[in-house]
Amino acid sequence: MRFVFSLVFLTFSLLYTGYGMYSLDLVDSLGRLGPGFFPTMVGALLVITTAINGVGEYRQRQRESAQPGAHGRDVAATAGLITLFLVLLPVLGSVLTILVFTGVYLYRFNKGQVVFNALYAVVFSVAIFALFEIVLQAGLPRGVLAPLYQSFQ
Amino acid sequence: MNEVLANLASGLSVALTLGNLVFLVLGVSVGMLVGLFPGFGPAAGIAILIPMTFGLEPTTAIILLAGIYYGSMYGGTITSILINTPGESATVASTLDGYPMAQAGRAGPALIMQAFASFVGGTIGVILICSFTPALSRFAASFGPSEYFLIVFLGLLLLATLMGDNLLKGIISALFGFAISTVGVDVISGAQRFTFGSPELIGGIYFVPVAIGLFGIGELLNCIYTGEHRKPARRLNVTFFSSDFWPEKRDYIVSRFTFLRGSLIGFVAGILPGSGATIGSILAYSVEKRVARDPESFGSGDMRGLVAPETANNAASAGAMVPLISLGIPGSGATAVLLGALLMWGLQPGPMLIVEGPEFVWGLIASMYLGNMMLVLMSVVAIPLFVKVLDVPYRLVVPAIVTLCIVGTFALHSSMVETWLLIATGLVGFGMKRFGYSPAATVLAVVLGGMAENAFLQSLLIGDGSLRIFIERPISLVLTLVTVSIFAAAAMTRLTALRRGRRKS
Repeated sequence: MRFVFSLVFLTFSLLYTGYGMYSLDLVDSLGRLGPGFFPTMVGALLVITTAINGVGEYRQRQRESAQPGAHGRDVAATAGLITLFLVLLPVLGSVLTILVFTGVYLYRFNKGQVVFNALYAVVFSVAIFALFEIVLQAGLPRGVLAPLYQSFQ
Repeated sequence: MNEVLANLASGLSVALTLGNLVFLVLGVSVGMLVGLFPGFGPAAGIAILIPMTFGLEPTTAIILLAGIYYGSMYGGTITSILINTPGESATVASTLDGYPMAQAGRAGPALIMQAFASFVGGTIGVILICSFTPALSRFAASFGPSEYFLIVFLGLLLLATLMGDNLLKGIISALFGFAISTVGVDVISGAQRFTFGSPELIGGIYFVPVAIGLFGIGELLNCIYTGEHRKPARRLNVTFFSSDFWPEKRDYIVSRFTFLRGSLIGFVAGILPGSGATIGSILAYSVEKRVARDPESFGSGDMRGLVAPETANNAASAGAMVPLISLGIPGSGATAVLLGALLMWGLQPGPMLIVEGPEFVWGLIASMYLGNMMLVLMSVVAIPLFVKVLDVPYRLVVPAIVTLCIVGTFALHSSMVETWLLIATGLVGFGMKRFGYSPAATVLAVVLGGMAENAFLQSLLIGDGSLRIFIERPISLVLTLVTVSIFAAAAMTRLTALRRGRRKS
């Protein structure tokens, strides 16, 4: 994974530098330093450093071993749930999304405490709604509950 | 001296309003809670709470956020002492003697002494700020673009060298931050860079989603990876307010010089860009052990071994405010987020801030003094309450952190693009944390990228395109020499390590 991560950085560096050189001018029409000068400098340094780093990680990849007790699956499940949160946010609105996310997360990681988990999810989503929507007036997504909001206004 | 006292008095008049006091208490309380949770440092705490301060006056908001910053130093030590788990990297050194003390049945004296040491460190730090900030501001008024660029460069280099395991990865992290900072409209030519036609990217990538992603989501995923969410609640048996809860007279006597040494070392470490509270606390511990007549007692519950890092990390938090206020250059991830917040409220930290906004600067400094007083009181009175928080399993905290990160980011500009960016940087932050990169260097570079680019281009313009400007001016020359020396030292260390490795194999 260490080597793959270094490859991600190298790929980003190549794309960043390539696109910067393609789309931005190094000098402007008057011969002064243009908008592409600094990004190209940063990009070139990124390509060099990430390439050296990638070679080093490739050489060391055989020594790599997973950390004992690591919970990669749980990380993947959490990252998946966070992504689901963002997908649902504009559709369901903030209150229902927080309720669903908290409920599903606790169902997965706090097993055997159904009543507590349900209560936690409801109280927490209402508290966040009260803090951001009523106190801070942040204008969170309303989603399917938009008609309900309007009837209260 | 009279001028400093007068300034501090005017600062107290700003900080002592009811509203500011309420938010100060709120800030230090949240800071203590933030410090209690492993992997959830002050940078994440500040970044997540920024959106909640939008309706506040700038001074009140910064008092709240600064309270989180130094409050977390107090909170982080509670877990270091009681469960040998530092809540914050700056409190790692406190585990060395704090935890053995708790195991020996002296958790109470250790908690009280850490609170007192933190108070002394924070207070000495605030007193030193009063002297150093105006002096550095006057000195910095003569700085040109070349000096500013070199200071930013030096700060990032020190951060990469001192805080990370690997200099190359630290440099990659900083360059990655610079790359993010180039997105948006170029201020000189007006050309769009890396916006891909998206109107949401024209204004550039805002630092808050990046900071929350790297520090908040990244750290959270890392804690899950290490199994923090699977651990049972830590029910602690600490007897509060009994006769053996309080430190003995000899605890104070044996540490009397440690308070001063730790505070001074911490403050200097805090001022240096890229160094900060973590380095300061470790350095103070090492110095204390070296000057002790009985160094063998360190590591087995010596009070000096707890007092030294505690005074140092709090003095360093205060010291870090000096370059932040007087130069506009933060030295750590947390102060980078604070700088971003200052810029958001239209305050431009730098030599002119103390002239143009004295009520803000002195109000903030005075609030730090008051905050330290509140923290020592809270630490003593509310320790049972904060210890109770440790009973909450981490798995119940995860949904709250995720929701605050996402909802807080969305609330900034009601932008789903920024919210997706949060997740992307969160995943990158997890990888960075796991594989030895420096998220703090990335955030620092994102916040300072625009300034660094402008300063660099202006320097080249003044120097007719020649890099000689970086060695022609005396201050620039000193900064360049320091930078080259750091590179050389890092290269020498690497070469020595390689040679040793070859000999062994």
